[in-house]
Amino acid sequence: MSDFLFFLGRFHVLALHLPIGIVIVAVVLDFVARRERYRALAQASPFLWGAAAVSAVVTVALGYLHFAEGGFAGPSGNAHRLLGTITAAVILFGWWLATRPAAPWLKLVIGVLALGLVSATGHYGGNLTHGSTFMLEYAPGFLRPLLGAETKRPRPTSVAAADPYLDVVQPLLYQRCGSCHNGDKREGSFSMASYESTLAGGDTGRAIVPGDVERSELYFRITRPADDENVMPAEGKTPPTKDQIAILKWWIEKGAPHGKTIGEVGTDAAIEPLLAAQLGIGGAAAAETKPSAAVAADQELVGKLFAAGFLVRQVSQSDPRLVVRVNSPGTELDEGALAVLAAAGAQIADLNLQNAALDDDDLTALGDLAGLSELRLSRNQITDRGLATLVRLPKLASLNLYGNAGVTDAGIDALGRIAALRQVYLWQTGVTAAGVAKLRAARPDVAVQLDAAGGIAAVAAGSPAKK
Amino acid sequence: MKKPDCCNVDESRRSFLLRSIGGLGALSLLDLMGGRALGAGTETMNVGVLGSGPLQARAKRVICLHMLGAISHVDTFDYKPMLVKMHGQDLPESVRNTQRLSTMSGGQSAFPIVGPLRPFRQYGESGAWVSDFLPYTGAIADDLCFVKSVHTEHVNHDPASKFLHTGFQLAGRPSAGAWVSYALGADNRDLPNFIVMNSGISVGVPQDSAIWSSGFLPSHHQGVEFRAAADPVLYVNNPQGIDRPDRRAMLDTLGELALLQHEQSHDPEILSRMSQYEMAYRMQASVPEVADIRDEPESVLAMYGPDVKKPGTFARNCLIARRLAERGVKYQVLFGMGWDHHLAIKQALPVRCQEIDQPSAALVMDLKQRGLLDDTLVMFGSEFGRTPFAQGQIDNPLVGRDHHGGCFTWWFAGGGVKAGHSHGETDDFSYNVVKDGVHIHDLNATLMALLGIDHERLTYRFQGRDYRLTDVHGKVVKEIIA
Repeated sequence: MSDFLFFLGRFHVLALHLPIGIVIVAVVLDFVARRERYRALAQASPFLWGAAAVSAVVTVALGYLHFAEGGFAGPSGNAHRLLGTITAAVILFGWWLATRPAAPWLKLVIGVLALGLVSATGHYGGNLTHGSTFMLEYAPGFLRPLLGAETKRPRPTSVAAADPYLDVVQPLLYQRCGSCHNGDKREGSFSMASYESTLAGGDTGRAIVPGDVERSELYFRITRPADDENVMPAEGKTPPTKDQIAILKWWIEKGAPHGKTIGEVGTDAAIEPLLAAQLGIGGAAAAETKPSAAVAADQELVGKLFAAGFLVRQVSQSDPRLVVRVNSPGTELDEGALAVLAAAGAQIADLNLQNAALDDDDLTALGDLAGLSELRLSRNQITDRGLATLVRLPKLASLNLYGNAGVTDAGIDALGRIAALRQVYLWQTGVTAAGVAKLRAARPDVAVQLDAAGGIAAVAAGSPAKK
Repeated sequence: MKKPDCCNVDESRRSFLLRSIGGLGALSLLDLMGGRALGAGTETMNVGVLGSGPLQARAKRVICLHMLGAISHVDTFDYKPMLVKMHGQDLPESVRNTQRLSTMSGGQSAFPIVGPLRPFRQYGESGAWVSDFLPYTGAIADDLCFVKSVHTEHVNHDPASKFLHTGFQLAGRPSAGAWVSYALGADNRDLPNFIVMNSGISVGVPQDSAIWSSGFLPSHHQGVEFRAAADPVLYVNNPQGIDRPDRRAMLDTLGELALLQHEQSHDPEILSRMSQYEMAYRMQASVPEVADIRDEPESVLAMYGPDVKKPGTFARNCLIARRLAERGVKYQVLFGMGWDHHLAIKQALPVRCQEIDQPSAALVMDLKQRGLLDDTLVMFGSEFGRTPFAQGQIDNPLVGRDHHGGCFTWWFAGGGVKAGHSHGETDDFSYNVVKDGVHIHDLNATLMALLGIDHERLTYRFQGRDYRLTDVHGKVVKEIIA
């Protein structure tokens, strides 16, 4: 059959609302017109029945065209087709009756019969487009058994306790694919109504090959680019999210488990939060792509630091510790500025006080900066005596003392006692090669940087560093 | 859809007032940290729209050394014995394939291979191969990370340079330095965030300010060009009869007028203009200070080589770059000139290499001994590479090499990049990438990641769409991050 006929066929879903509406009005009108007061309305009855009959016949014709596309051949589809045809016939009979003086009770019977048929046909048609459980999805618990629905699975309380198919994959597939691939409407002969039918697939092969993502048609279809002709879901339907695709991949790779718990199947750090988000456990935050939530630093402290002349930023948007530096060059820090620093406590992680005319006494202000991991004190007037303060900093990993001529071999012991130290810069200090050797012996875990001009000087002198 | 990290809204009147009076003590707390994540949409002089990046920054600043015109990668970093062996023979058709050539060599009937012009040798623990053209670079190879598989679509200088710096081949997009300034703000109050230094004037290779433009970002983020001269910014001194208090008073009055205008039109460029006036006022003091190298000891000057004594040379610019990095300038681009060797590569390349080899190595090591290399990313390369085959006749002493975008080398140092590492591979002819290609968008994405910025989330809405440096591309090259 030609595409054009299929095109017309799809107007069935539009046209069908006309006979429904008109026949309802016709039956109500016939009923109301029995009363003396509304007798005049009876004149409209043949016209309304005629309009209902014409639109019903058109709708049925379009319905046959739509049915010919395939994919509707389930029980609901066949019932819908049969009942729709009968409905049109009954309405045609109703039209014939309306045009002649027939017994009023017969008209009433035909009217009620037409309404009943319209409802039944509509029910099966609805099953085709929305799935047979559409109306039940949000039905209250007490109604469900009455309506023949399965009782709702209780929501799992932890990821480990959930069933990977029943709690995660089936609801996910139902949400994204269920409107076309259900027990009634098997587009491409594919239904996701049961575990078995989901694995089996449809016209184009096995939807899920446990353990083999590459050969699983379902996974192939949902990972096509949006403009690919094979992409699923079809145009206009909401595709699964990146995270949901990752969950399906995990499930297939794990062998499409069913009837076990996720705890038994086993997860990893990457999939666990996605599963939690899909299950609605632990809040929706896990589904966010953001690495971690933004945390603001202590605004009052930041304001004070700015006011004291420092440049301040956070370590990162999710790490509220502070990176603080002096404006350079030539900022001389006064008592007030140092007091602001001292008050910051553990909140400063990275502090640059280069070239700020600091002496040993000024350093005492830094003694309580317990969070400090990087400290740049280059080109000040610090001596060995001042280093004692730095020993108190429990997290100090990188210390830059270059350009402090007063730091000498006598300060090496103090440097060696800075527990967290990993890197120290000692260029242009009074520390000699012997001092460096001593530090390296005491603390092999500390990298010591002196001048770095050696390689360049060697090339300049004509002996390139060759291997 | 990912949400952008920021949005471009006009600054509030209050934040402008606070900024124009220059009294940081008066700044409100929200203004201080700025950034959407911290609850404010405003941007102050010192804080970018992000305040900080979403990720912890490995690099706090960048120095990009751009050899404008395209340094020959086959003669410097990408050692291929096959080119020595096949010198004089044609580059196999299967290698060249159907790739686009520039119009300068596209008409050639033969593509004879020119072997590397000087021997290569291995250096250091990492065993990196570097040409004898660059002995100083070789000597610091263990501090460098070579990426040999950089590639670009462009075969001509102008689009390739703009693509490298702005992520787009035509003028009008913001340069990476402008994006960084916009996102992260400043670490120094008295110097521009983004500084460009030329060593001489580009002859034959197009170069214009669109490469360091702020594009549609507020214009105070554009690169400030330092001249290749002793006085890097012209007219920085007050004219006769005007002293600093006069200048201050003039700017204050001008600021009040500008504010009135801004209240009527809400044009953010008025505020940009005023912030530039204020920056210029501060630069009257800061630029002469940074350009005056008399406080540098002789031993440090010796590292950069004899050219460092001549203002405007690449060596001097490298020294100034280090001084600016010390002072916290976020982003610098230094152009080395004269690399477009279509002709006479044998004569020109040694001279050019000698100009840049020692200073660029000295810059890295000088930063290192000051403890600045940890958080300063130095990068060295060109807008594209050059062909392994000859442009012109191979027996002509004035033979050259044409442009080649298919593969070329950049090296990186510091800023959280692996040291003594090499990434990516090219084929035996250094013509095609065979492993781990790094597109220019990838390079820029990686640069942003090192600065703590997610290149996919730093966007700016302009003419109805969100723009970013990497367009819709760019993968962070995690393999080179330490």
